[in-house]
Amino acid sequence: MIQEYLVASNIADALTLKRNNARSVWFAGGTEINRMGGTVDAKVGIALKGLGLDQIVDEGPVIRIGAMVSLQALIDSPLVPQWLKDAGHYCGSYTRRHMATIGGNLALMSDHSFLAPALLASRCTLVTANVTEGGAYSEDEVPVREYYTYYKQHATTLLLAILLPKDKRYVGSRRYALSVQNRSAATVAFGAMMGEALVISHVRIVAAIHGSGVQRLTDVENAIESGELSSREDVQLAVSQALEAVDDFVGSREYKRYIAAEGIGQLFGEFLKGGAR
Amino acid sequence: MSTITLTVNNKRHRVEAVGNRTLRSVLVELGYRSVRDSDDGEGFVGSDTVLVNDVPVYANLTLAVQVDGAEIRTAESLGTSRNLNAVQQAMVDSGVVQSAYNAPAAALLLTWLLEKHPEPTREQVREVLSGLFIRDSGYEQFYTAVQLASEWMKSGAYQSEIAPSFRDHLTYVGKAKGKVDGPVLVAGEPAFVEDRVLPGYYSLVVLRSPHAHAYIKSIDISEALKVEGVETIITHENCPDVYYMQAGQSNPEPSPHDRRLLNQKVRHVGDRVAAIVAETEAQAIEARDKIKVEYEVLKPIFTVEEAMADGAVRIHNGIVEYRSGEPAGLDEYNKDADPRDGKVVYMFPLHGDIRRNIASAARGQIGDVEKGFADADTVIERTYQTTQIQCTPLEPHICYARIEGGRLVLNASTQVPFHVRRIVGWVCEIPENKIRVIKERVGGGYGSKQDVLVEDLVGYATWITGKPVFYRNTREEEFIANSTRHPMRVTVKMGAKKDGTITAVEMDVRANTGPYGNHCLTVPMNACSKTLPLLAVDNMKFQVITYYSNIAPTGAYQGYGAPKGSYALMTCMAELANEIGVDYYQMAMKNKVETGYMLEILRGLGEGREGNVVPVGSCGLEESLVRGAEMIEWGKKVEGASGEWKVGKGFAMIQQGSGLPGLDHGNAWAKLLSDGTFQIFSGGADIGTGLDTVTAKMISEAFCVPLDRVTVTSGDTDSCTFDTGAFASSGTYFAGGASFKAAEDLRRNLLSEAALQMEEEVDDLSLREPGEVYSTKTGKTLSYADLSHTALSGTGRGQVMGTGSFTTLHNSIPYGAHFAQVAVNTRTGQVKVQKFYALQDAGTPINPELALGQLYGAALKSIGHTLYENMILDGEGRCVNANFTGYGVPMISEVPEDFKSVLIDVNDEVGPYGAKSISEIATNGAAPAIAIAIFDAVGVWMRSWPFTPEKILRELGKIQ
Repeated sequence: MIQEYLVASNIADALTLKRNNARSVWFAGGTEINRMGGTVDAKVGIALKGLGLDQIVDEGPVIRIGAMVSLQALIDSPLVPQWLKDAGHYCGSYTRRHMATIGGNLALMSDHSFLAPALLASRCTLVTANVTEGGAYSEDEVPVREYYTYYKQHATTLLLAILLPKDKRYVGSRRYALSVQNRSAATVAFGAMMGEALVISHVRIVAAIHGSGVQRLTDVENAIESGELSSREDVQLAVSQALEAVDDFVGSREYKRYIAAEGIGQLFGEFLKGGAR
Repeated sequence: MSTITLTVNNKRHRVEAVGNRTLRSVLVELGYRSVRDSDDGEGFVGSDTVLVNDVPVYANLTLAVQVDGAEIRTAESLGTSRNLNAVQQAMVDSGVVQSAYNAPAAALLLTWLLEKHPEPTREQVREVLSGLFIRDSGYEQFYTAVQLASEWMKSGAYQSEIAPSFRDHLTYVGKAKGKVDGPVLVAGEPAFVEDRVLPGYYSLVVLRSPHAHAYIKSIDISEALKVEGVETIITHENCPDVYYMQAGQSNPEPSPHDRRLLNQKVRHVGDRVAAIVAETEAQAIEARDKIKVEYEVLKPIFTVEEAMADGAVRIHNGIVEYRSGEPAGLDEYNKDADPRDGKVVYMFPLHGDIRRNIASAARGQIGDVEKGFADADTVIERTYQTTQIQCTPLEPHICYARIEGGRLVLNASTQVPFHVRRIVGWVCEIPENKIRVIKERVGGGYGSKQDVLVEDLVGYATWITGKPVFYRNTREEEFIANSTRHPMRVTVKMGAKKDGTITAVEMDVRANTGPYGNHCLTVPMNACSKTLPLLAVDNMKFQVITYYSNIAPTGAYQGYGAPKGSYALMTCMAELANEIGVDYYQMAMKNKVETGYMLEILRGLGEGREGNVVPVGSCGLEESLVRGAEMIEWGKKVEGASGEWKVGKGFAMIQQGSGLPGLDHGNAWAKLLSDGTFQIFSGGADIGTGLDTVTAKMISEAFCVPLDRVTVTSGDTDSCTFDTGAFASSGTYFAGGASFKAAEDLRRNLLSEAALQMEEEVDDLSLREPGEVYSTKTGKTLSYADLSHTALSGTGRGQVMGTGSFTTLHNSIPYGAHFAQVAVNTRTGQVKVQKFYALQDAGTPINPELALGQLYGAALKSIGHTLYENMILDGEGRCVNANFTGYGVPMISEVPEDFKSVLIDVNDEVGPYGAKSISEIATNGAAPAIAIAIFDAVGVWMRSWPFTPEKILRELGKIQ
């Protein structure tokens, strides 16, 4: 539970506050930090409100989405692609969607994340900020896959924005839960590009599996890109074999693997039919 | 500590806010009490919804420091109970304001929506309400409320119909007139227990068992008592040696007295170990953490099968006593009792055998079942399993008690104020005249507040300390230390001729009562008594056995045992129809009861004694079936949206009761006030269902006066007369019946007084608007005010009053049929309820708009039980989904695409103005209707609820 809430005057100040406060966390919408039974254990929250991170801007080749943009703002924006709006809707509560942010949801990288699978499948880029011990401020553009791989090491990094490329790329996701606001067993996403001669490239397959975290299935991605896997059935089988899952109250290991594979199979089938969107 | 500034409803405040202080706590302290808490900050239920800078947020999920400088809007900004805004008024008028714990939040959200979109679409309404959990009235009538509000805001009048109207010759009964307590509730004004708590109260917290089954070897409270502010700590070592049960039922109870306030043996995770009373909650929690307990952990058991097994560990192994009907050989039976287990005291024999974990048992039959099966062309036997379901009232169990004038006064959120008084009296060992129970508005009960789960402890703590004590369950405690729906295994054997005539039915019910025997006989009996009488079958037999185990406690839940019995009996009937190749609808029509059919089966289905055999009275079953079949186009196959979606249809016949004939009792009294207005005192407990409105209408209708000329006082044990309580669908029928009789008695007395004052004959007098006595012979009139004034003058004959007492042996059974159309995805196992039509005969619906809301709410609740809800325990007995997100209640997203409730117009011969009950019955249809529809869609029988996608995939062979 947060005991202290620090308001930064600007981004550099926020980074300094973070560096100077042990057991501090970035405080975006607060829906996880403040939640009963929340997973975030911290004493100090560094508020990101008021830092100008709540804008969605068309920057030509990319759409820049500030980390503090709420899930509802994503849904309401004409600039945001449908696949991301769909993922925003996985948060079933309108009220909560007004509070939760894209940056917060991605940074949690939880096993029931609404957005992480879709964002990872999109091959988006993240704009991050850091400050060195000496106080030097820097901003970087980090591929989302790198953030995913090293997200624990990114704990002191401030996520400023998500850059969505305007490439002709398919991205789709599916969420499986008993009811809209019940904890999900699996949220899966598939992203890829279809080139000339129907060459499939830049495949991303991601699944948030309850109890087993967010998983990127690189072997399956590679097998699709190489043409080794070309049918929906083959992809489903490969996914179900590659996924890690455990039995818990949300569902059995077998069910989670089945349903995640089914979801990715559906998305792959949709991709093959439509190519890109 | 930091100081923040916020503007609430245009009023500026400066408050101190430590880092973790929530916005809700600040708002409540500032007096904005409409911002309530249902989920301890889970961000799910939405009772804490406010607008921050014109955006909806959960105040309990927001730190106060987050809103420094913000503009806040709460429901207090909308309107007061005396001046509601258009949305609040439309909510009351449409019938969605029932238990209403988060009605103010809904009013705020919908007002905000209408300010932005004066004519919102259904989708917009659905979106805005998606963050609110509504358990009582479902969601459907919110669309009506928004439509009405929109119309009013545009033209100053409603164009749409609110609800159907019944009985043209009546003015108030059968008409949508709004709920009399609706304005206070929707405005968020003080109404609930928490609103009555005065500064200076002491907090009570409970130390709960981490083990499902254990003896307390030692408990050391010495360090805890040293914590500053601690007033007392109650344990099994210093609590009264009084055995009782927490079920608020008839007295003597058909439940064993198998517990004390605290026991040396804990029997479920969350069982009471110690109760700490301190000046502040923080002090009480600090003391709780310093209590040292040494347990002797025992093997737990969680299922009926484990409890039945030879050599199974005994959940209760103490001394057994009987207050009457002691069986032979009891001394021998008690020889190997363990004193650490305490006692189990039966008020009368329930055929329990605690050494075999049997809390109670019963059996009975009519006709010759074996002959019936022999006469059948086909006989099938199927077993159906149901799971443990939580009531999830939005207002958790809560109690505030204090000493006033040497008496113990409890403000309670209860369905049974008079049983609370009796049971608290037992525990405190004080007579009933020393106790006053005031039932406040109840923010959802659904059966769980029929049980005296917190009042016993709070009452005792107050009585021994003399301090005002406040207690409120956390949401987790609601899950682990509360009443829930009994898990059951129901086996049905059924035989039929080739033409669909059922020749015999046998039901075997094995119920899991958990650690204590609340309702252990009556809930499983109800699985038979509220289902078998639907069938005109000569040969029927039943057996019920209830077992102790170490699951979380069970008890009453809306529908009682009927939803489980109905699921098993109706689904088995559909399975049999399928086996013999007869259309299930035709089979239902062939075997259903109708008016005049003698219900012999009831003889064996009394609650612990012989039941009354009566014929079927008013009965809308056939019309429900016929109209429902037309609505859903029974027999017409519907194609799914794509190849993987398959569509099917199903239905179930349903019934319940209208209270318990021969057991329930309603009392009321009424008086004419000196200005010609009325006050009526009803023992009945309005738990949000509109019972007070029923009560008021009894006076309004009898005296031709508007509802605002009638004041209802109910549920106060000091001023009201005894009532058995709001359970078993008894409210309208019994409490309403008593109010009807009190009004009639008052009418007789008023006419008698008028005859004297007017020097007329009573037979020449009638009552008419606007509140006067009229002589049809002379044309003279006498206003009620003048009549009362004269009666109360020094030479008058005193206050005009009336009393009513209602009991009956008659069974006014409500009937109905629920129809479902589902789409099942054969690849994902997903089930979508596309259509759900709930058709029910409620006799005369006295409050038709509220009756519809009851129907929608109960039907959606049962859809939730059927598809989503399930308390899941781990191997140690810990509930692993003891929160809303993990548990999975239906929200507005889960409402069927086409959801209709239809009130079948049948007049009852006994109920007040022809009324029967409405709400409980509506929990009985969804499980069988949806199970049968799933079979129709994809050809698999779902014999275990909830019907999760995983289970469907297993049945389809997609996963092993």
